[in-house]
Order: sequence, then C-alpha cells, then structure tokens
Amino acid sequence: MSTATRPPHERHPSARTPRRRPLPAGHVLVVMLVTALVGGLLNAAGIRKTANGQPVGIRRDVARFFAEPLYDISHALRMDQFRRALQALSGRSGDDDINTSLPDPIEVDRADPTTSTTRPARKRSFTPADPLVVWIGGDSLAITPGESFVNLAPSTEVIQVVGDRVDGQVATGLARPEVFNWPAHILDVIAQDDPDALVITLGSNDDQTLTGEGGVGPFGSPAWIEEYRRRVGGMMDVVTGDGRRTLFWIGAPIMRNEERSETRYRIINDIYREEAAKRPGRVFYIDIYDRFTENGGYADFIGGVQVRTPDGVHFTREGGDQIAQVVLDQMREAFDLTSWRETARTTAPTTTATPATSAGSRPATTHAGRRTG
Amino acid sequence: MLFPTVTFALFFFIVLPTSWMLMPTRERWKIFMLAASYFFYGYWNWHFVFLLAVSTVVNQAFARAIHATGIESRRRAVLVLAVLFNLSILGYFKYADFFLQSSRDVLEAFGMDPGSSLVNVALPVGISFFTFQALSYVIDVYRRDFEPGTLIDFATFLSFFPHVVAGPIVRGSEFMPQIGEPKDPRRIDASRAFFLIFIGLFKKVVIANYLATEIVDQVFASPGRHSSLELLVGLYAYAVQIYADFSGYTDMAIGLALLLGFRFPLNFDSPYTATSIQDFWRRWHMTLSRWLRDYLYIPLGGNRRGAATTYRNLMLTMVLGGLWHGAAWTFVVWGAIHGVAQSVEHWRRSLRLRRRLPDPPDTRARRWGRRLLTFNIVCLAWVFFRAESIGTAFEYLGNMLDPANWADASPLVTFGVLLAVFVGIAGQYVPRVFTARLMAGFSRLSPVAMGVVLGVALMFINTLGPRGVAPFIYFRF
Repeated sequence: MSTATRPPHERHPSARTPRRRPLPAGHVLVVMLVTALVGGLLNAAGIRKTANGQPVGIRRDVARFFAEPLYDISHALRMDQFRRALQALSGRSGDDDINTSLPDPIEVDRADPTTSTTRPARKRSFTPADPLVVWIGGDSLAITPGESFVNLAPSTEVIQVVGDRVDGQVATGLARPEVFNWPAHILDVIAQDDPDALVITLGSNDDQTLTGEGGVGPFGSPAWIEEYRRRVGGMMDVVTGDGRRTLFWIGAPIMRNEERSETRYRIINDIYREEAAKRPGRVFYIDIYDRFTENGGYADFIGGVQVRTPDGVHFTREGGDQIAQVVLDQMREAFDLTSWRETARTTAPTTTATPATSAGSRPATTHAGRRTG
Repeated sequence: MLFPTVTFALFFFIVLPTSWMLMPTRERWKIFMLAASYFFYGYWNWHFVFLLAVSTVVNQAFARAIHATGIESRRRAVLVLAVLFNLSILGYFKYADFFLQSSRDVLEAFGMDPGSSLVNVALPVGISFFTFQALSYVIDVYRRDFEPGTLIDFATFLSFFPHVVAGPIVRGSEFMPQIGEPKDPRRIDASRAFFLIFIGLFKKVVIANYLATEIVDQVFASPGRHSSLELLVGLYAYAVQIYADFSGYTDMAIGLALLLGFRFPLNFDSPYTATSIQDFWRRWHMTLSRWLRDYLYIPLGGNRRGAATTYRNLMLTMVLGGLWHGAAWTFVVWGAIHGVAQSVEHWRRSLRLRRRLPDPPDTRARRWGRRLLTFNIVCLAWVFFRAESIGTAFEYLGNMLDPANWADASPLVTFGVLLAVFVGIAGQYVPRVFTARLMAGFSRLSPVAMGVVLGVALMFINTLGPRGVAPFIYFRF
C-alpha cells in the first residue's frame, strides 16, 4: 500500500517534516530540573498532601522537610492557584486540603432522647417504597465484601445501597487523618446522601503511631489506646449522634501473619467492641476475626471454599459473600425489613404498593427521590 | 518502584547523568546499570532479585553450552533443558495454584475431599517478561541467529530497568549489540523521549486510572446491578483503560531508554484502528505477538501444513498467549476467542483464494465497518479478560444484552467517562505527521522553555488524575 492511499493517521512523516533537534545530555538534565522545579511549584499542594501521607518515620520526615517549604513558596508566588482552579473546574476542590481534626465522642445526656443510649423499643420498619438506604465503605478490606453486599441487597427488596457502590479508600483508617479524614468524609456522605445505616470496615491500617490532632505513639501504649478509643467513639457519634442513623462496624479479620493479628488487631477490635457496647441500638460491632479461622488459626479455606486471597489479607468473592450475609443478618435483627410483605399480602386487593424491585434487578426508587429523615 | 512516582524521579535523576558519565568506560557502566536495575527491581521485594540473578546465570550457562558445541543432539538436549528450566520457574510461581485449584475442583466434582493446600507463593513482578526474554536469548543462540554475549552483558540486558517489569519484550539480539555501540552524549533524541514519557503518563494517570475508578471497577464487580448502557460503556471504557495502562507504561519505558541512549522496539501501533483480528495482533503488544509467532506458531508449522494444522496452530498459540497473561480459565477463553476469530478470517481468505474471487474493494465505508467489527470482537474478548470468573463474564454479557436493562438509569455514564473513552480511541487516529511536527517543534525550544512546558503538563496530569498511583495492569502478568 502506498503512503498516498494510507489513512492519515498511518501516513509516515514525510521528508518535509522538520527534523528533531537532538539535545546534549547536560541540556537534558536542565530540562528535567526545570520540569521538576516548575512542576513541583505548580503541584506543591498535592506534593505536601502526599508527603504527609507517607508512613510515619524518617521517609515522611524527609518528604515533609522538602514539601512544606515548597508549598510555602508556591503559595507566596500564587503558583498554587493554577492547580486549585483546575481542581475546581474538574469538580475536585479541596482534594489537597489536609484536615487532621477529629471529633470527640459526645457526652451522652440521658435525658435527651436523641442521644439516648437505651435500645429503642421498636425496630424501624422499611418497605420497598420507603427503603433502608445503606452506605457501605471503609479501607481496602471493605471493597470485596461491600461489592457482595451491593449484589445481595436487591434480594431483600428494601435495601438500597448509596450509588450502588462501595466507598472504598485504600490504605486508610483512623490513625492518619492527614491521609484520609474518615469523620470529615462521613459528614459529607451524611449531608449528601442521608443514609439510614452505614456499614464501615476499618482497623487493618491502624496498628501504627497516631498522627494528626491528639497524635500519639507507639502503637498499643496506654496513651495510644486512650486516643484511639477517643477517635473511634468520635467516629461512632458522628454517624449516630443525632439518633437517626445506625452504624454497623466491621472489625479486622485474622490475617496470615497470626502474631501481628493477635497482638495488634485483637487490641483494635476490642476497642471497637467496647465502644459499640456503649452505644446500644445505635452501633453494632460485627466481629469477623474468628469467622475466618480453622483449628484456631488463619485459614485460606473454610469448609473447602477459598475465602482469602493469596496475599493473606483480603477476601475472595466467596469470603466477601460470607461477610455480606453476616451484615445482612445483623440488619435483619436491627430493623424490620419484612413486615411490609405481610401488609402487602393483607391489603393486596386494594393497594397498588407492589414491591419496586425483584431479586437481581435495580430498585426503581431512585436515591434522589427518597424521603429524608 | 513505579514510574509515575517521586521515588522513581529521584532514582532517574541520579541514574541518567551517572549513566552518561560512565558511558566512555563501558565495563564500569555495565556494573553501574546492573546495580541500578537490581535496586529498581528489588525495591518491590528484594528476595526476587535472587530469582532474577539465578535466571540470568543459568540461562547464560545454557546459552554458552549450546554455543560451545557443534553436536546437534547435544545442542538440542541443552535447549530442552533450558526451556524446561524457564517453564518450571514460570510454572511454580505463576501456575502452581491454578493447577492445584483446578485439581481441587475436579476432586470436588467427584465428591472427594480435596484438602485445603495451595502453594500461595507471591508472584515476582515481571517474571513472564524476563523469562520470555531469557528464553528468546537461548533459542536465538541455538538457532545460530546470535552469539552469546558475556555474563555481564546478558545480565544488564535482562535486568535493564526500563523494561524489566512490564516489557516491551526486547530480544538480546536487539539490545546487547547496543551496549557496545558508541553513543554520542551530545545527540540524545530528547524531544521524542519526553513526548513518549509524558504521553505515557497522561494515558496511565489520567485516562486509565480515571476510567478504572469511575466506571470499570464498579461494573465488573457487580454486573447484575448496572444498566445495559453502563455495561456497554463500561466495556468500551475497559478497552481504553487496558490500552492506556499498558501502552502508557511501554511509552514511558521506551522514552526512558531513549534518554539513556537505547532504542526499544515499538509495542503498540494504534491497535483499535485495526481492520481485522490479525491486524489487531500486528498492533497490540507487538513484542509479545512476534515472540509467539517466532518461537511458537512458526515452530509448530505455522500455516504451511494445511488448513487443519493452521487452525490448530492458531488456536494453540492464542490460548497459550492467553495463559501467558495469567493462570485462569478466563484468560484461556480470551485467547480462544482471538484464536477462533483469526481462524475464521483465515478460512474466509482461503475460501476466496480457492474460488479465485477478487479482494473486495477497499472503500472507506468498508474499512470503517471492519474496524468497528474488529473493535467489538476485541471488546467481547476483554469481558473474559477482565471478569473475575467465566460465570461473571457471561452474567456481564447477559445483562448487557438484556433489553429490559436498557431502560434503567445509567448514573455511571457521565460526560467525563465518555470524554475519556473518546480521547482514548480518537487519540489512535491522530496522524503521525502531526505528532512528528509537534516533537520537531518542541525540540527547537530552549532547555528552560522545554522544562516549563513539561512542568505545566505535569501539573495537568497530576491534578486531573485520581489521587494515588494504581499499579499497572500488566505488572501482574
């Protein structure tokens, strides 16, 4: 095929195309240095955020040592404005903000019914027309079980998962608010989606020094436990403090590194359990640690089914399905998800309130159109 | 160490000038580059540096042994040993669990207790790439296409950091002679190198990562929960994601090698403009397809032994090519779809030849029709490539084609997603003349102006891409 008959994108550059001018190695280095300088100043806010997100230690200290003054210079020269404008244009304002403040637990006033710690007398009822709106998210261990829950929810006909997706934030927790501030994020979720229930999985990244407001280390010291307890309690109250929402908190599972699991995740899970117990009816702690053990230890296979991925940390789809089922069982205990069927049966000849969905299909009720409160 | 990270930038800032400074004393350069490459590779998991070193020493010994003797039977015996050695490494690290799991499934199907043991070994990054490169080196020596180099030359070639983890699959005969060539440090093709590095960054960080987080991961995680439109756009988005991800990596690899004074073969050539599946394989992962052609398809007999053998060879090559990507039945099906499609194309071509029918006229409409058909066959195969299981793949296709799902809302199909898919496909139709002029124009700028342009480009890429650096898809292969 001659060049003339080739489509334009396949035609090779002709002899008239100007030739590329080669550069000496020294000039290449100059290009790279100027690129780093200009790119560094323009992206200084993002670099500062990334530096703060490094694991606590010398690497983070060095990164911050360079990133903080870089940001100061960029800000003084107003070079950070370009990135901010681009973020605003792409709907991602605030991406570079570092928010390390963490809420305290609410001091419970037992006379105030909205913050009462006594178990509600009646279960809240949900129907296909008035579905239980659930937000599900957490660290990377939330993703596969969350996806399983998204798939399982339609079978109930009354559970609607926010956005039909898992809000998974890899390598996050309550230990490092400068990496990801979960309480602040949850407040955004509540304001935007107003879920009735939230399912959160945290803990597997929290066995480290706590940074941000009230930061303290090392892991496991009495001061660490006290501060982590404050963060967990604060997070639980951010969700449930107004008495309108229920929180299902999934702890860390046993991992292939059993020693680490026993000496670290057990401590973290105990804090979750104790803090949830202080908030009966509002917070349900779901213990999955022992669910994934066999003969007292970590197991890839439970009952002949592979439930853990080869990394010895995350879950396979089957493992995720098992957790999703446990969460659903817990929700059935906490809420009335079935009485609408009885009502529908008894009023069938006169009512038009048929189930909006069937198993496996998406709910007809859109999230935007749901009731509030 | 991932290319689009500050850690790698710092690493390259040290390696580039040192490499050019040591270039006049080639032996020192080799030791330095070997050390730098092992550091780069060991940054993930230093244990696997030993695997790379063992693979290097053993394959060099095989190549030397083959070269040292003229007795054909002995040469052949050593070659068989070399192939077995390399396939054993791949088999243990990559396929042991696949075979164990498949055996478990069979035992369970017959009602027997399979126990619960898997090897559960971590997969060394880039093992498929460096093993194939080592194999091609030994086979080329066996075929007398190439004489073995010194151990340090071979070690530098096999571990060279721009290609060690995800290709392109460079041959010893392409790379090792370049080590000895004189290189002029005053004539670096920097504009092409920077263009490739920044286009690669854009493809990976902006296009691939954006599509993965905004639609692809979600639709493939739960295809039963999404509308037909979301599944269709999600599939096209995955086609663009995997192209942008993999070709972005190799663009960066080629650009980095160019800055160090080395030329790599092209690995992608606008694959979604292909007008047939055969054409697609001339444009997609070109270094793998030529490897499969030269070391598997042609030795099997290629298309020279009748129609039935040709179809068998096509199927075998494509299925094994599928398995190269990963140890799962989904990859087998992916390869089989490509094998069947190529067999059908071959059958149609031979039918036309037998009936002495002329080739159909090459009109623009016909070309676009063939492009559309080819792209959609490739996308059909991608469903199996991406899905967690064959069942999920069929669920995906079933839901996508179910007319009842077309009426559902499609919140994931946003303007941003459609724009990224469009850019990913339309970018392959940009005339080469245009990019050549762009590079030539860029090369006329002063070094400071070049740095400013690239710094601004870095801001766009860094700001528009999702937070964090997702690993490259092909790292797991």
